[in-house]
Amino acid sequence: MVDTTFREKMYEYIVLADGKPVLEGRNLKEMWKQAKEKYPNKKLSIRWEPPAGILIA
Amino acid sequence: MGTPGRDFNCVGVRMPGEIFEYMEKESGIFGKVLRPLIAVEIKGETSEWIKIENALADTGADISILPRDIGDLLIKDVTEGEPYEVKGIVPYAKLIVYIHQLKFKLNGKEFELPVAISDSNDVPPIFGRVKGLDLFDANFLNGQKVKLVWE
Repeated sequence: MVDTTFREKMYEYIVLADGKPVLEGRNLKEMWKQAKEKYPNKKLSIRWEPPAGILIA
Repeated sequence: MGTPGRDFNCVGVRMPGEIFEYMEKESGIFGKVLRPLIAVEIKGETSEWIKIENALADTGADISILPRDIGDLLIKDVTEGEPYEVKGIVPYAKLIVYIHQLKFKLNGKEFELPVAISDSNDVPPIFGRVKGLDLFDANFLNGQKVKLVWE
C-alpha cells in the first residue's frame, strides 16, 4: 500500500548560516530578513525541502 | 551536501570540475532515494548573490526553475517577467512561470540563463539544460555523484 499521507504535507524552506540550519518554515522572505539581521557576518544560503516520501519525476 | 572538488577530464588535461555527492531523501515507495542536488549561487536585480544548496540537476528539464519565494528574493516584481506555461510528466498539470534572465555562479564560473520563476512554492529549484547544464560536461556517476566540468 502506498502511503498517501504525504499529500497533506508540503514543502518548507531552511535557511542556513555558514552551512548550519538556523531557520525553517514557509515564509522565506521573513526568514531571510531575520537571518540577515541575526547573522550579518555569516554566509547565508537556502534549502528547499520537499515533504518526506515524495518521488520527483 | 555538495562537495566541491577538482578533477581531470578524460584526456588528462586539468579542467576545473565540481563534484556533488547525491543527497539522500525518503522516497515513500522504495525507501531512500539519492538525488543529484547541487549548490548554485544566483544573482537577481540586487547585487546580492543567493546560494541555493540543493538545486536538482535535471537533464530532463528544458529550463531552470525556481520556486516563487526564492524568485521574490531575487526580483522585485516576478510577474514582470514573460509569462509562460511549463509542463512536466503529470497529465493536464501546467505550471505558470515568469521568465527572467538571472546570473548563476557555479564551479567558479558566472553565466546568465533564462529562469522560470514559478507562481508556486511547491516546486523544487531545478538546474535545467538551456544555458545551464548544457554549458557543462555533466556526468552522473553511478547514482552517487554528479560531476560538472566547465566546457
